[in-house]
Amino acid sequence: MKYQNGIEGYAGSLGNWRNEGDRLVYEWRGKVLDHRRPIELDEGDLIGFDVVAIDNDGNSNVAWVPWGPPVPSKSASNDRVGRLLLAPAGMTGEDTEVLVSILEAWNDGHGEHRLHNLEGPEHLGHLDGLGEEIGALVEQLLENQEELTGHHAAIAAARIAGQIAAAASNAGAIASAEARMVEAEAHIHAAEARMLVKLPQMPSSSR
Amino acid sequence: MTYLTLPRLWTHVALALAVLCGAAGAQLGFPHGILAAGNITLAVPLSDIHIDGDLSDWPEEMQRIPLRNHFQAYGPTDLDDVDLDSSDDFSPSMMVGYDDDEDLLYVAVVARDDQLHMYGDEVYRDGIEIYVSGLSEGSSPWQYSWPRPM
Repeated sequence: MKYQNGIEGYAGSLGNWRNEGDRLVYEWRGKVLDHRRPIELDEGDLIGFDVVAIDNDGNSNVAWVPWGPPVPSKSASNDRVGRLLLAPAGMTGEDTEVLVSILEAWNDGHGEHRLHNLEGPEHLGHLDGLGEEIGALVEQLLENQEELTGHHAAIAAARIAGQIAAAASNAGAIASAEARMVEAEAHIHAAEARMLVKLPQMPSSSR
Repeated sequence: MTYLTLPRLWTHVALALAVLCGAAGAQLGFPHGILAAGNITLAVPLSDIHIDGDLSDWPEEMQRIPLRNHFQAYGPTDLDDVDLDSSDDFSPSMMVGYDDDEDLLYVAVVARDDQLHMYGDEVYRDGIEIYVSGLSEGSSPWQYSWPRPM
């Protein structure tokens, strides 16, 4: 290892690295800056985030490999980086794994729609009846489940979840939306109950 | 007649909704911009992580998230048309966590790389760049570069 104690950077950031055989390992910690000032981090926060790995083999152009959108000049705009959701404490490893897989499915589903081509939340309009809207979306998912399997279902689920979050954000109804989610939960339970009643036994691997 | 119970996937849909939308008392916010970018991933709570290049103090079960969006940022490279999942030349992945007591973000990147260029005066040596933003109105991502000066 070259740096015994790591190297400090801006705003108290600290990085270190080592190579283990043919592997490079980078480790870093730092503050999330917004308008050049550190912000507090809390579970549930969504922040702009990206990581780029750089490979210089000395024999061609440098490879610049982002996790997020494949665009340069990422400092120019929040549209040029991805998003990081700060997970709540206490999630099980299994739940974390599932949620990550859903988010990755979301990412895959937007492979052709990065950056500015995404459908904006504006088409959802101002949702006065947000709770009902969320419930309807959830029911839509449930009704379509027979036509959606595996990866596609995960993509649809993540997309709907994103739409719901964006709709809530767009409507400026954060506090009331949280209250209305109780209604949405009721929709979920009601839909679940209907599914239990309506659906006949089917093979789990029907597609 | 037996009846279907909801597939496990849909239980997880509810979980995703809960996490993303703040249900079940999670009291999560609805920050702007969740649809603004195509890539979303998860940071898990961490503590007692030492920045020494040794990842043995990271949770074993943490998923490694592949970095695969290579493009010709500086022109053609020897990674063009290469499957980064299996490439000996370069195959990076990352883990991300946070500590809400210290308000710190943690990033680990592991890259299989058959040729190391970590030293010298080249602007673009092997390394990583990290971009962060609080997504407030008018903000833009802050760039940390490592091991170049951060």
